[in-house]
Amino acid sequence: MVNFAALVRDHWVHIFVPMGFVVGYYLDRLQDQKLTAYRNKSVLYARELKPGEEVTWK
Amino acid sequence: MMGQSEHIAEIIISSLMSMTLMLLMGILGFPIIINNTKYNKAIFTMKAVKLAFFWSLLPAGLLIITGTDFTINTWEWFHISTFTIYTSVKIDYYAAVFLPVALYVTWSILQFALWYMEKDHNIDQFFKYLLIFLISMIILVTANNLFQLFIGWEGVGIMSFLLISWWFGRPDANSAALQAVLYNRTGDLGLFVMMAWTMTSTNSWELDDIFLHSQNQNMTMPALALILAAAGKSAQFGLHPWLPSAMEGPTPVSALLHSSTMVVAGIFLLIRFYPIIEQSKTAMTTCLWLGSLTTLFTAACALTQNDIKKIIAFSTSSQLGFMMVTIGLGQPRLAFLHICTHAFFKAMLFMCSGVIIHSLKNEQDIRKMGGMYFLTPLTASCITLGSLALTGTPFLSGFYSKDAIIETLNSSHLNACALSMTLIATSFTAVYSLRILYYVLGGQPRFNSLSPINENDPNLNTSLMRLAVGSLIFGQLITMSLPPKTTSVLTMTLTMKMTAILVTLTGLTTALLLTQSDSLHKKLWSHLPLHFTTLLGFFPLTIHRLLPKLTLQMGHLISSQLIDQTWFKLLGPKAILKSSMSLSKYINTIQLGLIKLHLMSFTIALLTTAFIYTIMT
Amino acid sequence: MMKILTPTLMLIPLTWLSSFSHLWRPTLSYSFIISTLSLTWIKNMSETGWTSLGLYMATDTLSTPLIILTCWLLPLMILASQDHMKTESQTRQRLYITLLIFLQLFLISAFSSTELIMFYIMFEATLIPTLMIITRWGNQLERLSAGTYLLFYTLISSLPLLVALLMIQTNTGSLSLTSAQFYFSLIPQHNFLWLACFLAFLVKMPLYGLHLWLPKAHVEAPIAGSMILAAVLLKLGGYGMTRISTIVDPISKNMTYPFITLALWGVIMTGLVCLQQMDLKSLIAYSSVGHMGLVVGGVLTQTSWGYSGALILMIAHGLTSSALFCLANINYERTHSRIMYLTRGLQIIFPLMAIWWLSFTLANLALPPLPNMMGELTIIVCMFNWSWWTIIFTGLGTLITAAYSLHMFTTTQRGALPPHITSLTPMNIKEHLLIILHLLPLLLLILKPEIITCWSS
Repeated sequence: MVNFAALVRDHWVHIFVPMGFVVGYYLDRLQDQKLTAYRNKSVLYARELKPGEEVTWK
Repeated sequence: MMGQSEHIAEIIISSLMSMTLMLLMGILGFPIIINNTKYNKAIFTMKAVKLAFFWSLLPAGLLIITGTDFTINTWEWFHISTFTIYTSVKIDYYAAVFLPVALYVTWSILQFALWYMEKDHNIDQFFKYLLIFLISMIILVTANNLFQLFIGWEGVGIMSFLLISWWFGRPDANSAALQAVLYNRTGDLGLFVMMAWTMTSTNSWELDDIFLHSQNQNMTMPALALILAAAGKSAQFGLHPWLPSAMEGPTPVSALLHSSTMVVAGIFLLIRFYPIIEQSKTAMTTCLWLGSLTTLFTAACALTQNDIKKIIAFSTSSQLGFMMVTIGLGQPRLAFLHICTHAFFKAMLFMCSGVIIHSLKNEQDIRKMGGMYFLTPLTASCITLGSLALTGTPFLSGFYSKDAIIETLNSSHLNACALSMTLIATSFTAVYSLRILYYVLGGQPRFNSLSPINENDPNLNTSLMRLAVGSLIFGQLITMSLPPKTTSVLTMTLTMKMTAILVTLTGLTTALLLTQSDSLHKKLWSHLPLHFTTLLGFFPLTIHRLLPKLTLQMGHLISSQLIDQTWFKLLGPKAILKSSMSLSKYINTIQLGLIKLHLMSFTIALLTTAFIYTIMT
Repeated sequence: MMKILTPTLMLIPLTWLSSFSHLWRPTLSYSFIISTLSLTWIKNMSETGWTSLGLYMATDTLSTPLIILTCWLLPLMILASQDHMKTESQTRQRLYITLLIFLQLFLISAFSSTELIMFYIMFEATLIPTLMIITRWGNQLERLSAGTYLLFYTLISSLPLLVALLMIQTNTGSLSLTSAQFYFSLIPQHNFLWLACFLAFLVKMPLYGLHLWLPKAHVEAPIAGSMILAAVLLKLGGYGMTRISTIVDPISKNMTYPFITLALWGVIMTGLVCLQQMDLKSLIAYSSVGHMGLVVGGVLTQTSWGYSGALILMIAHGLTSSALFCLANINYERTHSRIMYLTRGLQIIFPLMAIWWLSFTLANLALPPLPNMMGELTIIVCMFNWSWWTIIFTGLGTLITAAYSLHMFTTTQRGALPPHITSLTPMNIKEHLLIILHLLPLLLLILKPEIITCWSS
């Protein structure tokens, strides 16, 4: 148990970069959604989704 | 039905060709990659080349049987906008014949190097270098694409740099290596122009496309560019000094690179691009003149050199000029034949000189040799055979190419002056060959009494004899199996027919007579022509001093000191500094912090204003 | 886009919060992981337009190779400066790494931004960490004047760009690159606008005549500074020019004449300076100016060949010159001298290192089929197409480049070993690794040069 605590104390910093990646991944998705929503609002590309159709930005 | 079966046969043969080439590269590449300490890598490399030689007989045999050229397009390498660069390989007459010749010579030279470089710690590395060189040469020869050709072209140039400066502790070797690269790069300018021109005018770097699209265009510029490239690589007049300097490298290097393979790459380029050269009369005349000038000048230089390797180097240079003349005559096939026959005996001559140098404790001066005829009989016979083949003695391999060239030369209507220069150079061949034989083989020994003379190593013997066999029969073999495509001259007078031999014999007799008079201490020559040729036409003295000095001085005085460190500084940072300094000084004087004075003037001003104000109201 | 940016940002707390004994290893390994992640962008290279499009950032065929190069260089810089930072205090080591990370952050943002003004801000922001690295960790006193030169040359030349951008903004209402083709007809085409747009990048390249800051900065900077400066910061100029030329395109031929002339003349002049240079780092720096001259020429011809060649040469030169600086630094750490004539004949004691020297000398003098050659050849061909007189300059330039590169190699590696440097510390695996990691991408690019040929523009 002590070992585990020491392990955490020594290596907790390693969480940062993976966390950054996860955050970045979600930010990217967020932006994708935003852009797709914007696109779907435009006259040129907008259309009704068929029943049961997935959203286009996926 | 007939057509279909032929078609199938064609497909089978062409895929066989491509497989052959792949395997050839595999065989040669393998010793470079493996790093197994269990085997002696040098011997392994030599055996790989031997295997590759036998393997390369297959395409040559197929070519002789079927008589067709093969082009293999394999891979789209990359695009630049709409321009695609492929890797494509061509196995035609030139490639298929040159491959076995180069591999045969390399095999012998590697075996010779096993003996020659025995004491070198890095012999494995040396062999790898030679192998990389060989692979670049094969890329060059089989390329059907300008870019691919350029890869091989630069590859052989760089390997020549590395191999010349093999003994890198010696300043001479390093400067010779640098010299070789620089002269080669000067030639490369031509190749740059050629590549740029083909891109602009034909929009392709494939050879066939280039030939197809260049039918009705003015070809003078690309042709001249090609000649420049060839002049750099093949040490033609003006760009020749690197070849004799390159003799600083080990003898196997001289034998492989600077006699039989790398230096002929330039001529080979012209042969490959002959359809372009022949469209421009200017280019043809340039070839003729450049070649004849080279062959005469370097043959004359060879006459008065005392370093055995330098004599052979100059003789190589002279033969390269001779090949250039042949291109100028419009006979690329004959030039190619001369490349092949020349490879055998010139490599052998270099190896013989290596044996002698090794035997006499690194003595290269022919005046300190002599009597080797009795001491190293095998080498002596080989050197004699090589010299005879070089002078074009009937029915040795040199004869078949040289005699044919001189016959064509005699019966052509081209520039008589250039042609007679070539003939004079041919007669010189006999003279310098005789000189080597006379000084090295004949007479009394003039070296130290305890020289380690030994030619009993089997590696040495077999490699020498293998090349000797090549020098004896190759010319006959190749002329019989692959007849020339252009019709040779069939009728001519007896004197015309005999010119080559007559000229050579004249040279020989004159030289013998002169030798006799020399031994009687008659002074025949004034010193000027002698100095002219011993000092290589004062070329290195002037150009090699003047040009670098000018360049370096320009670099130092003008571009570095005058422009960079003075003008750019003055106009840029210093100018801003100066202008802002004067401005800030001016502003500074106002703000000297004399607070009393400021307050005083302020108070006075205030009081005066108040005073005036009260008066006015 | 954020997938790369946020982990890079997270490297900073990692640097400051990890224990001192674990300072270098995690930063190194994580920056390697990030650069590996960035390689995923290569798969987008078959697309013609913008990919990984976000609100303000996107990549395309032009910027992807440069971003990947930036990501690739951070671990290499960390690897290279580990040794000479050993004597510094803890905080300073952390600060140093932080600056390098910031540099990567700014550079990625600059290369990937789709808003010109953001590009401009990031372009300027890269100056700050660079300046700190040079003026704080340089070796000589001259580092201060080098910093001043760097700052003022770049700042003075980039202010007109800001004005020009503001002007475009007021005229068109947008500075977005993604919609540039719709509004660029609204931009008043004027020679001064063109000049203002290009000057900043020409100085950054640097164009011959505006290059004084570069050798100074290179010579005085610590190894990481030299590396990033040669490898990526100069390329900001080439990138900016390629980008902005789509906006102020097409420009009259008269306008490009003086700059192409200067660039070509610079190739020769800097080559001559290199020939008689004794200072190893200065030699490499001047050779960069020469190569960048070719890039300027390629971009200013405004043909697709020119852009392709410029991008290929930028990437290849980035790796090559960075590696050469590393090699020079490896020598410097042992002999404490940049003078070439004092560090001769090293092949005898460091045979493997001599092979690295040879490889990068050959890359520098553009040996085919290395991408350096492809780039130079493409530019030479496109200049030839533009005017065939240029072949005299480009050709002479390649000749001189070969001369000084091999002179550098021969002087440092060949010849007899002088007696005063016989007892040097042997090479580390780390140093070999550093060089191999430069060489590997260069060799791999031979197999598929298309990913750096920028073929859509």
